[in-house]
Formats: sequence, C-alpha cells, structure tokens
Amino acid sequence: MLGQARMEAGPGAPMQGLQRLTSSVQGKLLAYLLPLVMISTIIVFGLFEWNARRSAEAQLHVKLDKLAEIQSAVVTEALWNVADEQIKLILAAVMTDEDVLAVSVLDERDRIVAALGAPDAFERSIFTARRDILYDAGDHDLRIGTLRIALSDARLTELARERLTLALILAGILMAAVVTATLIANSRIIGRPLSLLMASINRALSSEPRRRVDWDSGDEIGRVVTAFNEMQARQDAYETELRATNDDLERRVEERTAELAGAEATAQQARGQLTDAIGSISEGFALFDEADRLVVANRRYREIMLGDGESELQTGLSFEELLRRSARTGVFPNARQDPEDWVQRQLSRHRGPGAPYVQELSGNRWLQVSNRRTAEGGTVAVHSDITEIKRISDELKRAKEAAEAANEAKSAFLATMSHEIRTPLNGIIGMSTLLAGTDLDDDQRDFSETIVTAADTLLTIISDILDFSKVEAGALELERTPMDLGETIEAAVEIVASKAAEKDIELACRINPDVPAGMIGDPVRLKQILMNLLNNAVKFTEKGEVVLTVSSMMPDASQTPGETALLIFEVRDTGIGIPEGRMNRLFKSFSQVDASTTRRYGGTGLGLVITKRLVELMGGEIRVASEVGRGTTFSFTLPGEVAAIPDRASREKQLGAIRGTRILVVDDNRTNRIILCEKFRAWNLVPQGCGDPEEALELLVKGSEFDIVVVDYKMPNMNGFEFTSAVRERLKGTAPPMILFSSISPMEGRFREAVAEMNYAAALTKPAKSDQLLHALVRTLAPDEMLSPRGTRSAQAESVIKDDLRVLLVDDNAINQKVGRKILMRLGFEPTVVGSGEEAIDACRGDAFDIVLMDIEMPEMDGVTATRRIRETLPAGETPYIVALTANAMHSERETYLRSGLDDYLSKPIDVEALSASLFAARRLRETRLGGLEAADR
Amino acid sequence: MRDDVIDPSALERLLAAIGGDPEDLEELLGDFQHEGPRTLSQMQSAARAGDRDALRISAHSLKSNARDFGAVALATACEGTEHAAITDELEALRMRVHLIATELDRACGALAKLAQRDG
Repeated sequence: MLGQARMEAGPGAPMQGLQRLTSSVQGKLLAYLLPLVMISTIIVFGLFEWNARRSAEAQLHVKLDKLAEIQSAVVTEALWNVADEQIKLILAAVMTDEDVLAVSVLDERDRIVAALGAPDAFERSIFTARRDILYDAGDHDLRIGTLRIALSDARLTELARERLTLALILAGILMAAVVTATLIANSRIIGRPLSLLMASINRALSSEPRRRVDWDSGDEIGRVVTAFNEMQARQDAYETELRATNDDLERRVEERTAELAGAEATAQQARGQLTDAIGSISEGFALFDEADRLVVANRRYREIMLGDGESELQTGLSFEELLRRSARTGVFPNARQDPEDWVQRQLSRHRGPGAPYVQELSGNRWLQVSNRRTAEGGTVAVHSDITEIKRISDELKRAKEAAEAANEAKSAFLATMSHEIRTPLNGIIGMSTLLAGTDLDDDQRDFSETIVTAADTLLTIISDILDFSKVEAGALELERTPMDLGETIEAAVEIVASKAAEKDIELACRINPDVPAGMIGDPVRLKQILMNLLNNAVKFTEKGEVVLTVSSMMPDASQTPGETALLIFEVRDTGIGIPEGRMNRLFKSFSQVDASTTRRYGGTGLGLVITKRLVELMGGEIRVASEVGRGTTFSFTLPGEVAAIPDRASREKQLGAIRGTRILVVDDNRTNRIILCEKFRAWNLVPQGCGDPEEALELLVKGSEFDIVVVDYKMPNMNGFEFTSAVRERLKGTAPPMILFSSISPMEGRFREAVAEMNYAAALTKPAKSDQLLHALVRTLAPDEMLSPRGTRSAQAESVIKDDLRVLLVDDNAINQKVGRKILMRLGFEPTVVGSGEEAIDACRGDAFDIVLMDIEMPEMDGVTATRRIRETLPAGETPYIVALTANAMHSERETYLRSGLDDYLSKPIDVEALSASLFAARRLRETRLGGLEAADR
Repeated sequence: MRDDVIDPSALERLLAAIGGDPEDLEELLGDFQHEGPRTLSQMQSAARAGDRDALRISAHSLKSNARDFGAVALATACEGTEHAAITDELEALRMRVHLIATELDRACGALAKLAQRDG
C-alpha cells in the first residue's frame, strides 16, 4: 500500500493529499466519522433553533396581545371624549417600544382616528393585532372604535443569528474534538501496533533479524500481533532449520569440493611423483605404444640403450630405430658382430614378451630385460642392472654348492659313523655268539655272554637313535609288500627268545586262527615294533611270562586277498608294571618311567616313541594298560589288506599230509601248552596237553596212542631228556617220535651233542616258529612232502655248511680277498676270487655262480656298475644272487643298493652270521629255480 | 686293555671269522705289512697327481684293511681322507696322506709286535 502510494505520488498534487488521506486508516476513519458528526450536529442545532424560534414567536404574540389589550383600554376614554390629541399622545407612547412598528386607532366606522408608524407595516408584518375598543355604557359595552398594532420580527431574527453563531462555534469545537480523539485513539490502538508490525516486517524484508512485536493489548490487534509473533517464531524456527540444512549442505558441498580438490592435488602429486620416480629409478624404464613407438623413457634407459643419459630420445621414435642407434653406440657387445641380426633378435623378444632375459652390456655388466604388455597393447620395458645381483647370486651359488657338499659330507659322515659303530658291534655280537658255541668254562661263558648283552644294548641304542632321527625327520617310509604274518611275528619273537631264556621267562606267541596268513605291509618295521615291545616286556619282567597274542578285530572277516583286515597285537607281561601317573610319559622322547628305571634297566627311552610312531605310520593305534606289580599289556592295532602268500600252497599240502595227527604236548608252562595246542588244532591236528611229565608218562604207558610227542626240555622234577629216556625205556619200540623244545640255543656245543645223542626227531628253540615246527612235524611224519626245508638263522649257518653253492668274491683289495676267502672256506665254500668289476663280469659269463659277493668301492668299475653289467649280460633266470659288500653305509643305504640291482647288502668287516644268511638266501633262490625246472621236467 | 693303535677285539673277531687258525691270521698280518705300504704309495701318488677319485678309493681300501686288523686310528684317518678326497684342497689332502703314513707306520709296528707275542 505504502509503496503503491509512493509510486503514485508525483503528478496531481491536490489529489495526493486526498489520496493519502483516504489511503490511511485515519483518513478512512475520519471520512466515515466527520459527516456523521456534522449531520448529527446540524440535526441537533436545527431542532434547538426550531424550538427557540417557536418559543420566541410565542413570546412576541403574547406581548402583542398584552399590548393591544392595555392600549385599547387606555384609548377608550380619549376616544369617547373624542380627544384626538390625547389619542395621539397615547399612541406616541406606544411607539416608544422598539418592537412596535406601527399603531393606529380606528372609529366605529373604521375611519382612522390616529395612526403612527409605517402605514404598510400592517400588511408586511405577521405580528398584527386588532382589538375592539369598548366603552362601558352601564348595561352594555358599546364598541366605539378599533385599535390596531403591528410588531416587528427584527428582534427574532437577531436572536436567531446569535444562536446560529453559537451553534457553529460549538459544532466546530465538537468536530475538532472528534477528529483529535479519533486520531489519538487510532494511533494508540491501531497505528502503533501496525507501525510496529510494519517495522518488524520491514526488518524481515530488509533481511535483518526478526524482532518480536511487543504489543499485548489483548484486543483483536493484540491477538493479531500475538499470531504474527507466533508465525514469525515459526518462521524463525523454520528458517533456522532451513539454514541448518543449508549450512549442512553447504558444508558438504565444501567438503566435497575440498575432497575433489584434494584428490586432484593428490593425483597431481602422484603424477609428479610417478614422473620423478620413473626418472629416478635405477632401472631403465620405457613405455612403447601399441605400434612400438616410444612414449616415455627415463634417463637410465637412455643411458643403457645409448650409453649416454643426455642423449635425446624423441617421443614417437620406433623401437627398431632405437635398437639400430643402440647397435651403433656399441653398448651391447653382442651387437658388434652382426648388428642387423641382433636388432631382429631384440625385436622378436620385444614383440613376444615372455620371461625376463639377460643381456650383456659392455664392461662386463649384465642387464635383465623384462617386457610386459600393458592393457592398451603397448609394451613396458624395464632394464635392470643385475651385475651386482649376478655377482652375489654366483657367490651364493658357490656358497650353496659348498654348503651342500659340506652337508653331504656331514650326512655321509653320520651314516658312516653310525655304520662304523654298528659294524664292529655286529662283529662283537657275532663273535661272542660264536665264542659261546665253543668249548668254554663257566667264567669264559659268562664273559662272552656279558659281551653279547652289552653290545646288543649298544646296538639297540644306536639303531634307536638312527630310527628316531629318521622318524623325526619324517624320512621314514614304509614298504608295502605282501608279508607272511606268521613268519614276521615269529621272527620277532625268536630274536627276543634268547633274552627271555636267559632270564628264565617263558616267552609265548599265539596267533589266532582268524588272523590272515599274509598282509600288505612293512615286515621289517612290524618286526621292529614287536621286538621293541617284546624286548621291553622281557626287560621289565623278572619272573613269569611274556605272551604275544595276535588276533583279528573282525572275526567274520574273510581271509581272501584284497579284503581289509584289522589285527590287534597284544604283548602282556608279568613284570613290574607302570604306575598310573607315569603312563603318559611312556611314549615321550627320552623319557622312561623314572630315573631309577633308567639306571636299573638302561635304554634310551626311544624304543616306545619309535614304536608308537611306527604304529601310527601304519595306521594303527597303540595302548597300554598296566598294574603295578602285576604286569603291563601293550596292545596296538594294525589295519591292512589281506595278501596272498606265495608258498601258501605247499604249506597247505604239508598240512594236509599231517592232518589228524595225535600230538601229546608235555610242557609245565600252561601258556605255552595252550598256545601249542591251539596252533596244532588250527592245523587240524589232535593235540593233548599235559603239564606234568610223570602224568604224561603214565598216559603213554597206559596205552594212549600218540603219533608224536612234543616235549619241553626244562621242566621241574623231570627234564626233557629224562622224560624221553623214561618213555623209551617203558615203551621200547612203540615209543612215538619226539620233538624237543628248549630255550637253549642248539649252537651250544655240549647241549647240542647231548641232543644229538638223544636222537630226537627234531630239536627246536622256544618259541618255535610255525614253519619250523610244521617242518619238523612233516619231516617226521610225512617225509615225502618235504620240499624246501627251513630253519632258524642259527640253523641256516649250520645247514649251508658243506654246501655246493658256487661263490664269487669280488674285491680289489688283496687282504679283503684273503679274509673273505678264509671266512668262506671256513663256512665250507670254495670261492672264486677276482679283483675287479671287469673280471667279475667275465667270471659270471664263464661260470654259473649262485652268489656274487661284490665290493662296491673299486677303482675303474664300481660294484654297482659291475652288477648292472652282469644283469645285462645274463638271462634273468640265470643271474646269481648278488650281495653288496661295503664299509660305507647305514641301513638306509641298503635300499639304495637294492634299487641299483643288488639283491642284498653286507657291511664290512663281514659279519659271519649276516654272510650266512645271505648264503642261505642264495641257496633258496637256487632251490626255487631248480624246483621250477623240476616241475617243468615233470 | 686296549691301546690306541690296535683294537685287539677286531683281531680276535677276524681270527674267529677266518676259522680260528692263528697261522692264517699271521699270514694275513704279513700281507698287511706288505699291502698297507703299497696302498699308501698309491694314495701318495694319487695325492700328488691330484687324482681325487683314485685317492678316495685307495683310502677306502686301506680303511677297510685297517678295520679288519683293528687299526682304529689308521682307519679313522683313512676314512677322513676318503670323505675329504672330493671336496678338500689338495694341500690339505696331502697333509692327510702324510698323517695316514704315520698311522700306518704305528699300526704296522703294533701289529708286528702282537704277532711276535702271539707267536
């Protein structure tokens, strides 16, 4: 409104005031108010005037009537007396009244008697009176004339004018009061708050902070102001919120902007750094585009390629051109001869990036170049100076070779050492064993036995340590070959048997009939496990027995090859037992049950650790149960695949031949008796056990028929010899054949002689191997079924004596030749001796040898080569059994030799027993071949 | 019971192995008195010629004999040379051969003494 008014201001100045007036609330209010005040004033004063005039006129009429009455009375006498002069005087007196305009007196005939004043007054004035002049004639009034008076209204008009003036003054005052009051009220009630509102709005409009309008009148305006304030407050709040949002938005925008700026700066910096980095790296760096044109190359690259970092390389230069320039500078020695060829070679390597390649630079410096394809199809070439690296690597290589050589030497030393310790030990054991077989007095026997025991212990310890280190190094690999379970188990038992016999402990082995005959596995290691456990049991048992039981965990499992079997081996002793709290230490390295045990029983404490590892390697699990003072039972499981045993058929045939044989078992040891009987039953024989020799004698004498008697040597009251003599004495010719069991080695001279004198069908060492026992039975009861006799190792040594095996000894050393020859001759052989590999080959061509004892370390041709040549020369069926002879190996090398084509391995100095075993093996090989030939002949 | 030069148990063992006839042993000992120095001279010429393989084999050979007769120190010296033959400096090897010569001398002396005593 204001603005509009202001805008319209200018032309039409008179209009402006009115306009402003009507455009303001005050003006509008006055425009409504003033006419009302004016009209009401006019009405009020009009009514008042009308009323005042009427009363003034009424007063004038009253005065006229009074005057006429009075004067008519006054004139009556004068007229009656016709005194005209008097009348005139009276009239003149009347005329002094200023209101009287004219006065006249008429006679009865209306003739003018006297007249004063203006003649026309009677016609003009409305205030006229006519009064009859009556004369009192006694009885009646006689009308004698008429009096006329005319009064003036001038005084009336004068009064009216005065009143009008007054009214006008009053009206003016009233108007002024009304206007003033209106203005004041307006400004107080409306104008002020409005202007405050206006000011507040103007502040808001001019973007100043809003101000609350302080107007608390309580009326409509007050409420408007309150509402306005409220609205303003809301707007403030809203604006604050909006501002906050805006601020937030702005802040975010700023942040984002800052970030972008930062990122840009970082990118810029990174670009700068990258450029610097490329420039400063010690490697030569160049980037080529997909057309092999240079994009960028650092100083180092220029240095390498052109021999000078200052040379300019134009961006866009083709790689080929660059190579030609390089070739010209002579930086690359290889480019000097045929630059074009060199360039082409480099190009092909560059275009087909593969593994980094090495280039020679002038000055005996070396460069490694690696080319990589970029995503855009370009090529990045990185040229590294590897002169130093190459030098270090060469040095390292030399150092590594030296270290490896040293390590090999160390390993070889260790191997040799262990072997060197074992060899003399074996010698000691072998010789002492042999010594024990000779004629000795008690002291000498005691000494020799002590030597065997001590050496044996030492050997075990050394083997343990070697095995342990192998196991620990994870280097132990198990063989997987069909093994004869019975043979393996019994071999282990047999080895421990002598120790058990020495301590006078019964050692028994029981293989349940449900155990398969063969299984895939490592017989050497299984034997080791069993030996460890058995040795342990014997070691910790003072009296009683040690029993090995083998059974199948799956009784229903078929024994057909290929099926899975799960065996459980159990070694039970009646020894000292192990306290509950010490059990957990059993399988730990270098730990025995306690220190006193170590002192008393010796040993490294490694045996059980190795055993446990071996069992676990075989997929089994080992457990121990023990009761202090009662004994200990170790048991382990062995899963495996049932395997066919080659000579099973002949065994079946032998078993068939002795089926149903009645056997009397005479042994005071119950366990042994039961085991033997069980074994016999499994073979479909009819055994009867008897614990007392006298009772057995009774049985035989009373007529019980037995095909054969098995008797133990060592029994209380009556020993085996006595029993045999008694039986023979009583039964004479009907005495059944007898087999003697003893714990004493048949090698022991005097005993052997005694046994020979007793003329037993067979004399076996306890516990007897199944094969051995079966063999003895078959030989006694069905000699026709005998094919290949077997015996214990000690028996082997005996049985190969005086044999007709053809032996070739190959050794370059004269003394070794002589020693070997003497040993072999002592064993009953006439060896052929040659001094070199070539001679050995020739000898084998010329003569069919059964066994070749081959020295490995020989000049010109070593034993391994000679062996290979012999095998190449001879047909497979005619090759001899070739045994390596060496002073240089530990057990593990045995496998190496076996892989190289040798059949067996003997360490030097030659151990007589081991040699005998090899000779026996050769003999078996020959027999097998002969058997095969015979079968073919039939 | 056992001196540094000869381990008598080895001799006993050897005696047992060859059948227990002392004459056989004496014969072997005699051979050694003759063969030992011969092998040594092979070693010496191999060491001079720098023929490492020949040195190794002759050391091995002498080691084997030394063991047979219980010449422990000699066997050890030979074994060291056998292992070092491929890797060590020739000069060091020659020193080793020299050491072996000394040990062989001692061993031969000791064995001769033993043979006399037994005889």
